[in-house]
Amino acid sequence: MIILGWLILFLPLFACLAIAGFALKQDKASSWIACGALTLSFFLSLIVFAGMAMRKFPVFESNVTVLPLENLRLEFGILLDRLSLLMLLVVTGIGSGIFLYSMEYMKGDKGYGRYFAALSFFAFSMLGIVVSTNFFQTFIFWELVGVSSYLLIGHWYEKDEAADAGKKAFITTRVGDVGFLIGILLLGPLTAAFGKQTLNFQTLSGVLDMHSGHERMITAICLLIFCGVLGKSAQFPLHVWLPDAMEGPTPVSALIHAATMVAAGVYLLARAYFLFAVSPTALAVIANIGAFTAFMAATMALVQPDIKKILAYSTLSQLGLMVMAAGLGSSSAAMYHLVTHAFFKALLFLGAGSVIHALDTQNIWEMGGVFRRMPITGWTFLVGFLALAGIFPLSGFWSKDEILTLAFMTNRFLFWAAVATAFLTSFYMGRLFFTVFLAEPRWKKEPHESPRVMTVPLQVLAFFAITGGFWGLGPFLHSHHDRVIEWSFSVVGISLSVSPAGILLAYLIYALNIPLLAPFERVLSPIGGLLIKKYYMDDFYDGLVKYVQQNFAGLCDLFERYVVVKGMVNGTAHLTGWAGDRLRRFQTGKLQFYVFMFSAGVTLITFVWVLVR
Amino acid sequence: MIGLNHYLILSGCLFAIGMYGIITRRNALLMLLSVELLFNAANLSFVAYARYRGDLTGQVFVFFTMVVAACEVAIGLAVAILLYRAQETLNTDEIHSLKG
Repeated sequence: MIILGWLILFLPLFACLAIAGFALKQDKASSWIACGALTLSFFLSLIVFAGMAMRKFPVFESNVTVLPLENLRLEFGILLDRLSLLMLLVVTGIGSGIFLYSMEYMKGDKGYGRYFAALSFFAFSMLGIVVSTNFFQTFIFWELVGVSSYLLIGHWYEKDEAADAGKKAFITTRVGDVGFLIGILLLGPLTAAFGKQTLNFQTLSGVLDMHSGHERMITAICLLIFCGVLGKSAQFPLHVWLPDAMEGPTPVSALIHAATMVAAGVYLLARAYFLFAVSPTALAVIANIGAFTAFMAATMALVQPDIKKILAYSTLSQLGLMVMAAGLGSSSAAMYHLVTHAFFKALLFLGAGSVIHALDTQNIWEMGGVFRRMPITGWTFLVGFLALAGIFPLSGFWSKDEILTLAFMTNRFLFWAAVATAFLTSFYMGRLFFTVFLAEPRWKKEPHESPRVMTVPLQVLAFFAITGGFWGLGPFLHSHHDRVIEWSFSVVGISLSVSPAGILLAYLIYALNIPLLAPFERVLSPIGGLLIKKYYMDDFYDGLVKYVQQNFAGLCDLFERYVVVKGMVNGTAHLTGWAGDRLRRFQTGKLQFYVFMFSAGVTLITFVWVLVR
Repeated sequence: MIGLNHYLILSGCLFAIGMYGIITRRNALLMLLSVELLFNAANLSFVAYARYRGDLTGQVFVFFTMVVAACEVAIGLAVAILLYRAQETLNTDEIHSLKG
């Protein structure tokens, strides 16, 4: 089992190295190597999953010590439990579908080999987080994911927007990672206080179950680690990179910014839940930030004209829901929604990619009436849309309902925020779907259905998006730290009525062109302006960099220029020069003077010596 | 009876004369001569002390000093000759190329 686990992890890395070494310029070979490796990983994951299922999912762990320190060993290993097994299946499964799709989507691209090498490297980094046994390893792979995401977002680096978006994603997530790193470092003293220094998840979990106390320290650590989650899972206030990251190729958006990388944050929450569960304060913060992000992102999605950006904001919003669920006490509900969301969001992105591929535009107002021309894309997109909106009985309904019920049980305010988010979600997704697929055609280029390589992954994902709710993932992932969620008819009733209501409203406005919103124009247009500007968050950060950071840098510059260089460096030189100039006068060149000074000196010294004695 | 003090006073006088010579004379050769006086003043007190304490180390030391002083005189005279060739003078007031 463990050997298979190592293989699953390292196959994509081998693929990346093989492509980078031998096949960078050979398009066919590079794509086949990448796809082959990840598909093999997927099958191996299936085998491992089946094998573990037969043994009722024991926890397997294998570690290699990388750096033995005095009282702490930094390890690198593979942990196979329910959580990581499920995540392995999701990453490799959805990943191989998207790799396959990329073969066609990226055809003719100059950096085809580079693209697949980076994609494989990304898969490796992500799998590294999934199977990680300790915080140290997680952090390493966490950063690797950041790097590969930078490479992939900036794939079309000739385009300024893409290059900037890559940098923005990398730097923004780094901001959060600083907190993450400090949190990990603080774990050292914490565990030392409990008697055994360790970063290993299993050991830590055991230690925390046995001991209590140090709650403020744990709260601080949780919040710092959560900073990393803020960055990677694009939660407020570090959410700004995700919409910009849509500059990357569409399959990348599907893989990284919907199904896997942004899920890493939520995965980390679930993985380290034993830690978070100890601190109610941290959980409350997490829940509120998640709910706030969910609602805010949903409102921003309402006005976007770019099909991928709408999906990006909806990703933000759904991630917010997951984080909220984790904060409200159930990591299994968060992971459940993560898995179903991975299916239908990858599906939506790939569908959007298919439409973009056919029409050469990302603006939804230049599309319209695509459904008849691209039936497979249309149907599968419809499935993804309904799943995201949470329509019974698609997968989104079940996982979202679980989160809503959880919120209903624990925090009514957040419950209504989540319901509002659900309503907005179905409304903006309806707007997207009806405008692109049903409204009057406005395209300039005749669309055709995409080739089979692209549609087959769509159909497979659609199948999972439909059935994802019936596998009992919630109970499968349930851990003893999680709250037990009890069914509630009022929640089901609310969610059954809210989502169709949003879709209906969108249908009336965008498919039938009934100007329902016109009477509220005066109220709505300032809000719309605010939303288009994304709540001025980007401008805020620009201002922060422009004024605060630049002025601070200027201050440092002045300090260096005048105090360090002019005062200390040049000052030393001037002092030496001045002293030398004064001392030069003694060198008269007259022997008699020297002799006189010498004998006077000796006399003086002797005299003093005698006196002192 | 001539005791240690007599020798030491003689040595001190010699030293003072030598020092006076170095400081007042402007001729490099005469300054070298005065330096020899300083050496011999020191040698004299060495020998006097050696005799006084019945310890031969001081006398041995003087031999070494005399050997070194001979070398020094050789070098000093050579320098003086070269100096004269280069500057056409041995007047130290006119030799001040070491002035800072």
